[in-house]
Amino acid sequence: MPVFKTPFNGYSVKFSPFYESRLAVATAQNFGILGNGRLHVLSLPPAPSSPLTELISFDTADGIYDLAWSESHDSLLVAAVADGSVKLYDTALAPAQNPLRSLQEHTREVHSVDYNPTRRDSFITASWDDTIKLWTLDRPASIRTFKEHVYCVYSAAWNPRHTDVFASASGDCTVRIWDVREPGSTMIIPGHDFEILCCDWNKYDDCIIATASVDKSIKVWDVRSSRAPISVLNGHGYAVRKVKFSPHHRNLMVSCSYDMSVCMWDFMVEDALVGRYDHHTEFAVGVDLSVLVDGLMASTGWDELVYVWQHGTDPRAP
Amino acid sequence: MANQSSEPPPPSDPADQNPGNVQPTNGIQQDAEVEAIKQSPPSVFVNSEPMREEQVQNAVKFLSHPKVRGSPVMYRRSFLEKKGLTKEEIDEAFSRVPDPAPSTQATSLNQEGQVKLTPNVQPPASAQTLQPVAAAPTAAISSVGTLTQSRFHWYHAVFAVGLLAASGAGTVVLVKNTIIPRLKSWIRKVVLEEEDENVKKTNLKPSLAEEAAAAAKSAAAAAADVARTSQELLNSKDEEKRYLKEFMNMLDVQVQEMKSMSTAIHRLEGHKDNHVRSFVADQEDYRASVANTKQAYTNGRAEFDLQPGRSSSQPASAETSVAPHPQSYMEIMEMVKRGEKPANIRDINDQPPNPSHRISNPRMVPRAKVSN
Repeated sequence: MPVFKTPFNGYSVKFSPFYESRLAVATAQNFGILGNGRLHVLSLPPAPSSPLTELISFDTADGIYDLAWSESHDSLLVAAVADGSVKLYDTALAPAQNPLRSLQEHTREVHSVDYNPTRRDSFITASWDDTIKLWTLDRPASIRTFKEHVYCVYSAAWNPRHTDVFASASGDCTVRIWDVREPGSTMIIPGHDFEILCCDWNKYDDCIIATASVDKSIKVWDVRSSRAPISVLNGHGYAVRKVKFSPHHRNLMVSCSYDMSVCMWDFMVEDALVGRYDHHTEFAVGVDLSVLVDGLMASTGWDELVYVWQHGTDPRAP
Repeated sequence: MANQSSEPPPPSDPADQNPGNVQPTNGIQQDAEVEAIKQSPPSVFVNSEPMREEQVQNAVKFLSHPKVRGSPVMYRRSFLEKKGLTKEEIDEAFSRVPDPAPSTQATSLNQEGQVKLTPNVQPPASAQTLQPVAAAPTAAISSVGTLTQSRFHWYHAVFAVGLLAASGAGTVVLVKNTIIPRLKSWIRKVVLEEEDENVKKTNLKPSLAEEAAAAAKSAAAAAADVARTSQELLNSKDEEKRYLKEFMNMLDVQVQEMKSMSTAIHRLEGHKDNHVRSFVADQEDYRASVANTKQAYTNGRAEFDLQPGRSSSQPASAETSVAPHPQSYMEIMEMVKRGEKPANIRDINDQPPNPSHRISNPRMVPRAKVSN
């Protein structure tokens, strides 16, 4: 299975929505504590036994915590940087001509960026300064700032069906649902007793959302009856860092955790854990499922490795 | 689950769809419902449940507590949100709690007491003597209230009861002392003086007696009010105590977490090698036990089953163990804490070379997503 060794610690990996064989990795030096960052754009080889090849990479002064591919332009990427800036890159241009934009508004680290998959013109960034900002590619300043959380916002995710709705997960232990047409949040879900590190919407049921927390569990909620979760998924040994619903199967999702594993879950069955991959040797911090290829998944971690494999196979197989 | 459609909905871009043109196809009726929800302005992403009065009242009691009043508004909201209150309930609770005046609870109670007393009590001299007596027990009770609200609430009750009895007895005694001499003087005047003065005095007497009686009634009513509020205070004490306890527990948990994290860090700094070795040893043990006889195989299975059990029971106990961080991570954290910069950092200029560089037009048509 294709592997890539990054010089810095991996933080996030995302498949391109335009090219099946393309993905990007966000990395940060010195575990993201203090150091430079690098954004790699990689290409899958035609044969699974060959390694991943790097198409282009971009260096930043501070670590990159997350990235998002543009849904409108096949070569544009947005990077969430630890110095509070949001940078726009064009992979069709040389590194010397990049970045195209550097948007400095957040006052603390930007931890997450998500591109609107239905409107395709806007994206949201979540930051440790307790706010979420809404941006479009053509404007030099943010359109709106959403300030309600009382602690770091770790993740923000657009609803895959409702173009104006998104959710945010924060260290204040709540998940908030927002509508960009409304002045404030429309729902508050006090989901866990500990920090919530990630949230993601179900791609087939627009009212279902999953939350991943420091309490090692993943909870699946229906926003129509949000007082109690539909399902609680236990099995990770440490904090769950990311969760992502499958674009191909209604009930499947993947998660990665500080217990160094990547897990696949089916939240509608009793024994929810349907797959477990222990290929990383340090915290597994980034995971993604390809929208274009069913079952294709990628992960990265603090062990400076990026793996791409098909669900059901061994990521470390040669 | 409400939406049980087994096939993905028709692949169309909702953003381009005209909301009026929804065509429910056979069997995918639930998508029509989804589209209908999308069309109607009240979205499904709001709390549609009615406000819960009990929760609002609990929140009001919480917000009225002086210790909570001293905390930033942001944290009060956050605490209530974590309790599961909706935005409407929290806003309602905030609107019901009076704006934080700098005065203490004693002053507000005093003001309440005096406001209640003054319209009831009429100005005449006899009543005026009653007023300070009735106000004094109220003031005494409220000041006792502030002193003792954080502890000894049953002492408070004893004080209140005692003072009420004293005030009742005092009013009775005073009324007797004022009415009896006035009655005596009235009788003397009626016997000795002319009819005009009699008329005047008879007008005076009923009014005096009435006012005295009214004053006594109002004093009793005020005393009853005070008794009621003190009873309510007692009852609400429990609720407030619970909230405060939870507040404190949360703080304690945080402190414990920090302590455990620091001990874990100390442990790790000294024992990295042991950690690695034991990890490898565990794996070998598991493999060895599985490879052995049936008995050992069941032992191995049991061991294996134990592992997920152990890890899944940990969340139930609501205890989070901090994941062991890599040794180099701890070293870098120490360096940064000391103010040193790691040597491998380069000076990089990552600013846009041309900030007004035109963003190229899209070259490819966005591919239709499977879930659309």
